[in-house]
Amino acid sequence: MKKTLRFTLNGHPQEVEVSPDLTLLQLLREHFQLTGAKEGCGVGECGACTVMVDGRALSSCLLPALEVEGCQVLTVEGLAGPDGSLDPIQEAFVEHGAIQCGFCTPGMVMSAKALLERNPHPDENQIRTALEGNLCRCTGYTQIIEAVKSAAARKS
Amino acid sequence: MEEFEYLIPKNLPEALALKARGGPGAVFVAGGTDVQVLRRAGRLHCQSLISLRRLPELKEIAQEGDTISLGAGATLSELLESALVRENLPILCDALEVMGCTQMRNLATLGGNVMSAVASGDTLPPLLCLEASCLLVSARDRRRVPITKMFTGPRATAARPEEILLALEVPRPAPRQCGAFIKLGRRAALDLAVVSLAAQITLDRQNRTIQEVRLAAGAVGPTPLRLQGAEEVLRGAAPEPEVLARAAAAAQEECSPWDDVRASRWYRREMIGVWLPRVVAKALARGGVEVRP
Repeated sequence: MKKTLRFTLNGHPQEVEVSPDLTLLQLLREHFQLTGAKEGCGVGECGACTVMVDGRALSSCLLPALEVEGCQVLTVEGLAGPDGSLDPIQEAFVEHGAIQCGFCTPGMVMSAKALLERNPHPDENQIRTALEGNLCRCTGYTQIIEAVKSAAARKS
Repeated sequence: MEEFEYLIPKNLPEALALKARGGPGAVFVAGGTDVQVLRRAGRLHCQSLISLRRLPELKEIAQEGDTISLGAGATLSELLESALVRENLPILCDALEVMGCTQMRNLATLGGNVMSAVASGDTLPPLLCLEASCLLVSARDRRRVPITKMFTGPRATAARPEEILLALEVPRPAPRQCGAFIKLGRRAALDLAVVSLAAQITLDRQNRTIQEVRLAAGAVGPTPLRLQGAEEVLRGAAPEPEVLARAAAAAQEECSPWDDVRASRWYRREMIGVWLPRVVAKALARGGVEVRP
């Protein structure tokens, strides 16, 4: 039986009927057409589906959509300003070439965003820990770590 | 067939009532990092899931007298952010830090790790060393099961189906206790333990002898286990490399590892021998005693 779910998505209040088996990832991609978050593994081990819920990065493939009742959900689509200006993390990813095929990128960016909101001046270890759940098969990670470092420096 | 339901009770009595109504087909879930994965793999069949994520009764991390109570519904991240846990339970923090990844630590709960009851559960050797007790609650009563009696087999616990694990109660370690946990995986993050070890040690006043010691291992038997033979070797002994080596040999004797995709029985036993002195040395270093195993 479907239930009514109310939550805030990228700053906008939403009310939607969802079935009990629907994951947050499916809700985002299939109902809201927000296809930034990806399904990589479907079991919480690759980070491609990372979004922020009430300020914390988590795997949206593991979370039933009904669990975000009353929560603030932020996806990569919610990062850019109303004028289309990119978040400093996104800018840094572009500048550092921290991207190749792009499949992992929205998840990487959201993990970095959650880190910098909690800890605006992370050291390299803290950056690596925040991103340890995001797998990338192309870049070799170095550019990504550099991008997050430079975004953190830019914020200060 | 009835339709699958996902139920989100607001408090503990509501959760217990939903379980009473749902019977064996209703399964409790907290962070979902285990239950949801099992369901998707077709290894868990249920009529409904009862979510424990929003129960305020399961969230508290507090000290009452000499007991530290860790709410079963506290996420691994919340525990790591607790000053009480950081200051008193470094042995547990060592384990929390190497579990899964940030996204998983934001979902997974301590109670979930206990109730999943797999031999490789990272918080389990520390909880065994801390002699935690499991506070279980049902509609009828409340009871405490010592963690040493909790694990009855792979994925099996002493909890009755209608019971909810409310909290892990840990006696607050005395000032001269020191503890540590180490885990060997195939990679640093996002992996289950090939072997894990925990040690909680009480030194005498001069730091010359090990007065009391508790050791536990994960992933080397059907359940996480206390290494009482190795403890016997260390108890009352001086913290010296030769003593640590004898304790390691005793630990190798008393564990019963198996072969699986992550490692062979032989390798696990060898690693217990290498890593037991290391975990003891790491704990001792926190107590101000340097030993090179």
